[in-house]
Amino acid sequence: MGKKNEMAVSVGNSQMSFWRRLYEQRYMMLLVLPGVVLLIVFYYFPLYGILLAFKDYNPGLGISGSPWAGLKYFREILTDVQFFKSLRNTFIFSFLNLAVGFPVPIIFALMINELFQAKLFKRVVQTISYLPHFLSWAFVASFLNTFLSDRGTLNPLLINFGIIDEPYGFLGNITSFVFVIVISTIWKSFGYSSIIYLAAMTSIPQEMYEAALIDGATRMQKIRYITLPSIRSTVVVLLILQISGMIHSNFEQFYLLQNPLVSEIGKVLDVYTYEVGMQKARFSYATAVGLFKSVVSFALLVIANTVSRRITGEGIY
Amino acid sequence: MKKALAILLAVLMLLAMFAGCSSDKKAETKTETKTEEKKEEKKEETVEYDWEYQMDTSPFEFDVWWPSVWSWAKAGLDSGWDDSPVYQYITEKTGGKMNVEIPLGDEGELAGTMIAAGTYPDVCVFGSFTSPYIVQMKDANLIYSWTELINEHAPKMQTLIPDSMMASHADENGELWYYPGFAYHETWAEEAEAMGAHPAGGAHGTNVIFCRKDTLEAFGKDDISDIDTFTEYLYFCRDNYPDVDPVRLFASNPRNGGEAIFTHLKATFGCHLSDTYPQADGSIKYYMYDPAYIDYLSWLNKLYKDGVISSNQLTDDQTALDTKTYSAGYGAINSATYTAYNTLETTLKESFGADTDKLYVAVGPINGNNGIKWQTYKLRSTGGQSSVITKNCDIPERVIRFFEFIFTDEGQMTIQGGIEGEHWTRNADGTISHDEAKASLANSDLEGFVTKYKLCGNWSPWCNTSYWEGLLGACLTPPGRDLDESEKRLQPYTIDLWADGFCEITACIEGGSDLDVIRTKVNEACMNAAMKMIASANEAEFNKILADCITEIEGLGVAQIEEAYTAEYKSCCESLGITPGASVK
Amino acid sequence: MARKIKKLNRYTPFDVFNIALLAIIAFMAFYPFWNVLMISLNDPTDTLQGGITLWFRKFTLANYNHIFNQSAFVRAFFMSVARTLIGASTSVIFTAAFSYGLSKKWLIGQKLFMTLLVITMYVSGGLIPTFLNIKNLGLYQNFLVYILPALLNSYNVIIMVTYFRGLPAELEESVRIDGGNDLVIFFRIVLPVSMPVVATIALFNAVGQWNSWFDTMLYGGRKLMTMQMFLVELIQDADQVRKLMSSGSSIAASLAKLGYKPNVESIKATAMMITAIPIIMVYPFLQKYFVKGIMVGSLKG
Repeated sequence: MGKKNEMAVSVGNSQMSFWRRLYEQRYMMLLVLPGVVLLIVFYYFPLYGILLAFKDYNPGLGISGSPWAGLKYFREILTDVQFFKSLRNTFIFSFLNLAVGFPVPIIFALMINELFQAKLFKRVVQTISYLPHFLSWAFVASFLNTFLSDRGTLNPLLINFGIIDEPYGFLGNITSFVFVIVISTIWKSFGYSSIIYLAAMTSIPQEMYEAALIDGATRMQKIRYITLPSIRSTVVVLLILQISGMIHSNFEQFYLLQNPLVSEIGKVLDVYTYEVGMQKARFSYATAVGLFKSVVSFALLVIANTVSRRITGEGIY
Repeated sequence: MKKALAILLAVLMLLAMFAGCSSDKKAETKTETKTEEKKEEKKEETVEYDWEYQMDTSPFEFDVWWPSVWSWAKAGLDSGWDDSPVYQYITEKTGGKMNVEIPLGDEGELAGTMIAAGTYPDVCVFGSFTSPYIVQMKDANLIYSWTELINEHAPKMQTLIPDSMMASHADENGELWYYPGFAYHETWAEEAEAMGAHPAGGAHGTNVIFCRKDTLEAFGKDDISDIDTFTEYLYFCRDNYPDVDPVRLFASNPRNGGEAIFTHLKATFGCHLSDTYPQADGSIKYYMYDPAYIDYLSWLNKLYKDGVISSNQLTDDQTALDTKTYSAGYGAINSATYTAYNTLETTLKESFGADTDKLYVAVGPINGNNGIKWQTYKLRSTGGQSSVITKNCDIPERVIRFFEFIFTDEGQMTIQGGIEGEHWTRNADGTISHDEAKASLANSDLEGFVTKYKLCGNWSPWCNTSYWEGLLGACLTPPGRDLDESEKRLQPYTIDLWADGFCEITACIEGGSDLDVIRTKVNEACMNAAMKMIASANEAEFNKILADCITEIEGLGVAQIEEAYTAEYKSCCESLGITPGASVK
Repeated sequence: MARKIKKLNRYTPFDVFNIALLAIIAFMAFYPFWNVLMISLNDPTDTLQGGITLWFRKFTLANYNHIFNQSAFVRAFFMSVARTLIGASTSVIFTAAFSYGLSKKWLIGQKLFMTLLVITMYVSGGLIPTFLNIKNLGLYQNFLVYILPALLNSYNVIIMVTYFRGLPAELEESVRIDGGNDLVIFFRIVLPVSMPVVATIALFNAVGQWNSWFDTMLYGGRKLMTMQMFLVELIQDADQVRKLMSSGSSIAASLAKLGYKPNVESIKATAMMITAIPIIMVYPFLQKYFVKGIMVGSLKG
């Protein structure tokens, strides 16, 4: 049995004194407490900044010196039609990125994992797959602008094959714009995100596959019953995290790619609030929006975690 | 257990917050007024000085924070003060030595944190006088007003500040809280000319239409001066040159950007040059109400429907524009004469051969229909980069007197021309002759010139533009073709918008204020509507988009903006002694 | 491996399909990157005309020279290397230690600590309070500002916690029976077995350190300039020159006369390559840690 089970029993047993337990866990505490201190010092100390949202903050006056504004900025947010439109847009894109983009790195990791031969090819493909991560959005936006323009690469190609008669404005049309955003997001992140899944897959013991082979399992069955379940916790965690992050967008991507023709869908929350917040040095407004986003994403986290607990029994905490 | 956990958590967070909060105490000590201490002024009644800075030339230093330095001026400032005869001359005269810190990055994020931490040095330079940070510093009592310092330590300096600057920038109590450099005041062009420069009536070379030489020839004309012919020409390009975009539009914003086609065509269609819609009764309405602007959008819409403009052109970014421009991919562009005849032409010759006719030649200006005559305005500006003197400065009286010297004629000549006798001489007729070595360096390596002589760019927040244009303009070799074209196609059509009371009225809105936010939203709505109108499929859709836009901006509060503009316009007219609305037909 | 021996040199249809699909994906991922590389190796004036897609037209190393020759570059480069190496290595150990502790449900305060961690992911004090905090801690313009705050990243912690929880209990039990304490277990057993996730997190941290510039801007300044910030500044300067060229003043006219061309494109491309290539070369070194799970089976007995 060992000490661990003894401890497991005694944790629930309030008979054993707190101090005794603490002593037994002293090494663990050594590993953990520095991190807690770090969190407090770097993340909790500045938390008073939340108060900024309730004041008319002037950095010259400091938080204590700035006048109270009460719920003024929250009122501004909640009565702003544009704010809600951009919130809607954010969620539309986040949802699409989730639905379409979440499985892609997993599938890609599976494909790589299933390749037993061609080691060199595998390595090369893997390395190439996360190159897009290193291209800044500034360049990707510029690249897309050129690639998709009327005399770029895509249009002449499509005209050549007779798919369309004249050049199509990909970035000026709402539907195609959405496509471009979602595909470029996936393209940029799938390789990098797949690394985690690959790491999880490589730690699956080979014996399990061998045993399955002996039992006559097909490739698909092996994937379904061995590979996938083994990465399940990773998938669940990343899914929860992505869901809770749905209120955030990739600022740079939208700032650079959106244009007035698609403003109905292209103006996302982060860009909108940047323009009327930070750019105008309205720190209070920016903080109020930040607080709003925090509440929403925290709520999403709790919901996602609870649902996941119900369905799969796993969650972040 | 859960409850205990929650309580413990809450307590922890509160504790942490208090720990952090205590460190945010504003340095209240700094806001004490230090000025009053120096009341015991020098007893200089005995000697008569021309300027107060001459009273004390003992050495002193002060620090300047300046993130938005022009890129090539950085080298000149980075290398410090000691290696330049020009700087040393200034120190001799005033005792002062300027240490410039150029922090990395964007002024926006840097300023907020700097102000909050109280680490701002003696002088701060912001990219524009409308910067919200100037307002914040003023409201928090962190800066001296220039007026206060001038009155107390250098009263003669007030004569060096033009009335127009006080009129544009002083607050309701007549105090100047920041000093804006690069204000193009009313007589800058004449003064520059007197020094030997060629300001072409004050309009420089921008806003001239250029057409591609070969297409223009094929079209059969050697000049175009009305909108109907111009439109014909565009259709001609569409029909005969399929791999060329007939006209270069804009990058992202239909109205702005020096090289946007609208900058030239706004006058063609009769839009007011002030970018507003002034009424005969003296009030100002927003440009979106202007039927002339709607005409312009209609015209673009027709071009769009007829395939002269492609939808891709509406989403092209600056890079795409540059690429097409430098491969002669447009039939017509709006550009500056000095760009088209230099950088552009050289590049095109390199690419297509020295005797190619894929070059650009100037045409126009383009007059409108119904008797609308094209106009442009004399280059005027209320100013650019602006500096403030902070209360972290222990020696504000020395600093203000330092700038007094800089603002004098001698000071301006020094920081922009160099040392008299060594770098330039004044001729009998008042024009300036420049030292050979200096002039040739300026004409071959601008960055080297500024680095070596530490002139111009290094001083831009304190530059009086007549000296700038006069000295720099006279120093560079006399322009050729580009000046001729400016004189032919711009000078005769130049009006002085400011004399009509339109002194940059759009700059009256305080940066970061609620009205500023409203204006951002209104401009955005108008820009979106304009683009969609250009791309609309039929008249019904066009009108609907316009109507929706008007409804939206009225809901956002455009009337408040109009009120502010009207008030500003009226006060400009008052100070000029003219009737508001008189110049409007 | 029985399976491999059987299939050696024989590709099933699935494999062929797999390889073909991967090749297409690789091409799509690679093409834009290659495009940037070509632009960076092409003469800037020539690039202005556009049309550089698969190969350069006028080869030149001038773009790279222009950047490497700047005196600030070398110093910035070494600063970046320093913070990447030190930052990534320290943070991965710190994160692993913290995560390991947090993964044990029987730890006193585990729930509290977990909650503390999760909250930090969603709530923040904002730009100015964070800045003031750093300043008050004495980290302003101090190299440690690149290291200390980066020691923990909640996202990474959660990944590692999940991973550690997935390790079989038998792993630790045998050591505990023999009387080993938690530290021994962590350093001698858990860490070596977790190499895949450790390597992953190390890579993420390294990339994060290498690419970050916002903290340099706020806290580092010129003293602690990193390569990324250096490049950002370079691009901003080039952009500024281009904007200046369309203003109406004499400077604009003289810039044009002297042939300053808008070559922002070339500088951006070169900057991107200088950023990407070193870090891409790191991955192959880490790949060897992504090996199949070892020795787990040996504990079954």
